[in-house]
Amino acid sequence: MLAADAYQCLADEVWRDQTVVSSLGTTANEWWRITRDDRVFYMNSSMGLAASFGLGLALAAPALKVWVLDSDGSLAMNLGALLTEGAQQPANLTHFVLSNGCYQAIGGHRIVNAERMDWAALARAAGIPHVLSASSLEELRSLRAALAEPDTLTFVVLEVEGVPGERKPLRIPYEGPEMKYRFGRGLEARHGLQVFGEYGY
Amino acid sequence: MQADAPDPGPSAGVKAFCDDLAGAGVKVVASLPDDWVVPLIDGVAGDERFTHVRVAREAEAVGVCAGAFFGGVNSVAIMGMAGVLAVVHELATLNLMHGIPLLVISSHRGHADEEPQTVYQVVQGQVGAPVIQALGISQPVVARLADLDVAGFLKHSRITKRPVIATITRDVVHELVGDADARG
Repeated sequence: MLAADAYQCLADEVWRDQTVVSSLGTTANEWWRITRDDRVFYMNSSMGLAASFGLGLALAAPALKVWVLDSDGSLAMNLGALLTEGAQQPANLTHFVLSNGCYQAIGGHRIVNAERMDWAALARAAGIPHVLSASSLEELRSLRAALAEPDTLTFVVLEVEGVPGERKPLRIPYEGPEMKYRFGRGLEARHGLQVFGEYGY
Repeated sequence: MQADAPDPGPSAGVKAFCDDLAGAGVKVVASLPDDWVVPLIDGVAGDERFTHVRVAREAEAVGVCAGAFFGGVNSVAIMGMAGVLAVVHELATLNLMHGIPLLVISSHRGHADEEPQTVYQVVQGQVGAPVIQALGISQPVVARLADLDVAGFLKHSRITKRPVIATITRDVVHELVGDADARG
């Protein structure tokens, strides 16, 4: 399963009204290419923080359904986030990790201990109650019902192929402040949240 | 057999701090302690008005608070000055890059009021303020609990679209634990 195919399947067949926080690199680039949507905070920086950002959003707005689209390189940089999720147990959070064993956006450089790591086992050990995995489109499609309306904190491992040498340069045509306002205004319009004050800040 | 003494609950200072947080609309508090900010964290942890998020690394607190901002609630990150130094990258590439507000309450370590046995905190005092200044981040030094203006700091952070890092001195710690008069 390629990352692009896994995300296309998620976007077409599972994604409905979830608010999405994507980690940088391949995840942000592929999800942008497929979705281009202000329901997504495409995090093009702060490697590792998508998980924590998504957790804060889920805790602050329990009526939202929050997806974190993480990558193994980013999650490796913020492993403690699994412990924090396990402690908080937000039922409205689903945390995906795209596992290709490499930093695809910079050409496929290997991630530390990629050969032995077991993301599902790590998530379970951190206290996350619902852990799923898929290494093919067929397996991912078989998870559609479980992903549509999860009633507990869920962690999903998407095992995909790394492509040696292939770079995934950033293609998103806007930067930080615009991302902030697009995402925040989208939350206000769709969910009635008040992100910004009466003077816009 | 003598009965256990009843839990006296939070000190007046800690209670005032929590009331200020709640009054400022803070609903999410993310924390990782050093010994000075422990009274603040203990107060928040015991107060049902807040969702308290204990984190494993201070950078998580930066992310949690950014997410809470988009969830429409005010939040605060509490950490030691070592934590502030550890989150420079996240402050730069999440908060400064996107203009996302953040209030950090931290300890003002390594100055004349540091206790002698904590000599290892001196370097944090030496480099903390210059690093914060280099980031272009406001650092109000809070020497009295009454000056820990949570609502004002939150508003300033929103208006400027930058973090505010309020650092509390040891006198504030003494006020929080209720021994200001006995300190001499």
